[in-house]
Amino acid sequence: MRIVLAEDLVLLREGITRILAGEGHEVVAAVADAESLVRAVVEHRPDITIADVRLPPGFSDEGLRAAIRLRERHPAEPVLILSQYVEAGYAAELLSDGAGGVGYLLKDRIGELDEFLDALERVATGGTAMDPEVVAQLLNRGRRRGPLAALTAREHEVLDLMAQGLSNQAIADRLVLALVSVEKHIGSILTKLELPPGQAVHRRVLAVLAYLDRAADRPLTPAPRAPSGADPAGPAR
Amino acid sequence: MSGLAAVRRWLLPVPHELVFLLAGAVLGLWLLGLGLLVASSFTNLFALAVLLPVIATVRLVEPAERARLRLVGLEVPRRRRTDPAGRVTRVAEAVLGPLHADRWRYLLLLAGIGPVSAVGVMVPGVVAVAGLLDGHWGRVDAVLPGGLALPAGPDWAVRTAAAGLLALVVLLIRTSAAAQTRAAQTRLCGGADRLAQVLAGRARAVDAQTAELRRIEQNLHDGAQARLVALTMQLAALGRSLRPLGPEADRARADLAGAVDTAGAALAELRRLVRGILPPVLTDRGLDAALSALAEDCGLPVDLDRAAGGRTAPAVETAAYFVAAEALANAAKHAGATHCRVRTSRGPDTLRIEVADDGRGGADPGGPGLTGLRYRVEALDGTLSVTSPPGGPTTVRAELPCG
Repeated sequence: MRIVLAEDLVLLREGITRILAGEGHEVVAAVADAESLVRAVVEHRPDITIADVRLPPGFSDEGLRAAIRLRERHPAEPVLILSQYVEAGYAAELLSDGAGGVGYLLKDRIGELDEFLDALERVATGGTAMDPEVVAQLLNRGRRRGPLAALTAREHEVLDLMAQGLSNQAIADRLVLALVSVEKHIGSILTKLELPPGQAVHRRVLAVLAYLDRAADRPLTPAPRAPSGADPAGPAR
Repeated sequence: MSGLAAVRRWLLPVPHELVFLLAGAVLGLWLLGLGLLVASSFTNLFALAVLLPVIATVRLVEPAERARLRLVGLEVPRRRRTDPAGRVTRVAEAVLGPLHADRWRYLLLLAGIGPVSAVGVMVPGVVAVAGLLDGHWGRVDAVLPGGLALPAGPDWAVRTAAAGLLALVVLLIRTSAAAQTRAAQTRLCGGADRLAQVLAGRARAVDAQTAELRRIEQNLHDGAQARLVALTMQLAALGRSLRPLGPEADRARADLAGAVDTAGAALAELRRLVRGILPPVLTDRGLDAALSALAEDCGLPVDLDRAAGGRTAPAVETAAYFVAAEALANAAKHAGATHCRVRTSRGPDTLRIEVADDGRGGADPGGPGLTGLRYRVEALDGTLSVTSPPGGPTTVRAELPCG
């Protein structure tokens, strides 16, 4: 794959470049700030862009903002954001355009080379790669109430991997399950969460993440209920 | 060149300070004169009454002293009586100016130190200038009492000695002026003004501390954390080179996986540490985003009710964040709460944050967690209140000035 990389620390820029080159990918441009990132992507039109969240000049979240700007101009331009810490809120911003081809991973995931390369591949082909920690943050909030609480332990595991963007086969491999049983779990999860079944993987992932984000974002304000509906959570206090 | 510039900069205030010291002598002599007048007529009430208008000029010394201190750049605020005064005191103050002891002590000091410093500077100064101009001590010897004479010598020797003396005099001018300024600063800038100084200093310290935390976070990010990430990449590269090897490399692969896990655990610990001192999302996105993240992590359902309005000072945002963090942690860990509500609101120059839970209460406001929180809030001149009756619920409320 042809890759544009934005990372301000030389140590990591070179490290990532070397790893990718070793796997037969070509880093067509390795830049150190957000402005050059946008320019390099426009110039090279890479298969995927890998960007650090924190870039000069402000060293806060310029990389993330540049990626979002980029995808406004070039919808579905595959972008993988790397960071030394993850925030579910940033993931939601990345996902908010509803297009696939986004990833958000902790930098140390590169150490798990096979999984990292797999995630890279998924994002480049329009899929999603969400860091397990992001998914955990989202699940952590949504878990206690509502339909999420109705999932079995196994279904939770499947949902977790699904939200990270893994394909059915990859989930089956990871959990050492048969493909059919993974598909059965997924069907059951989608039914319980009242999400439409049978979509392409990346649409499904977006739906799941959006669901989790929704569940997480309004944890205590119950949606207005029909007068007849009994409130399973009971009164707020 | 820069050395020369430094010397020039050092010499620049000398003329002002010389005038300052001479004015100090005038004021000191004035005070001494008044003191003698009072002492000599002390037993004679009639004389005292006649001399009262003269004695009352003591009240002019203070404005004069303030003007004198302005010469060296010290602005002394006017002091006003804050406690109520009796009638006698009021009459006496109308005549003599404020009666508080600090002022008299300072005037006494001025009466002594003003003339002494001026004489101490002027006498050697005049001697030095005379020697430098004449090349001999003739004019100096003429005024020395009892036929004393300075050691005679060739013209150049006298001028050299005089120049050395002049340098010493300049040094003396600088140090005496500095000493007098410092004395005035500690004695006159007291009370409310001192308090304002302390408050400003504390605010600066808090800001500096926040900036320092940000610096530590950045150093960790670009330093230790980046190196650990690089390490995991190197381990990954190593793993790749093991790939062509067969099962005999299984041991090495397992060790490598262990090393990757260890580096990952170290990074996770560093992330937790950074979150504990200054979460990056707080500096990057502000209080609202940081509170959302906090709500995600706290393990309890949290209702967030956020005030509209932009960012406030980093120190204020940090304090508000840690109020919420500590209160939520307490609610989850100790209060057995099932849900919490975090509410922020903005006044024209205050930020309020309130965390309420539905737990069993009984929080100890004197415990280490809440005490630390109180120190943090009070360092910003804010207030922290905790209500936590046994049986609950607990409400922690902080009000932080943000101008």
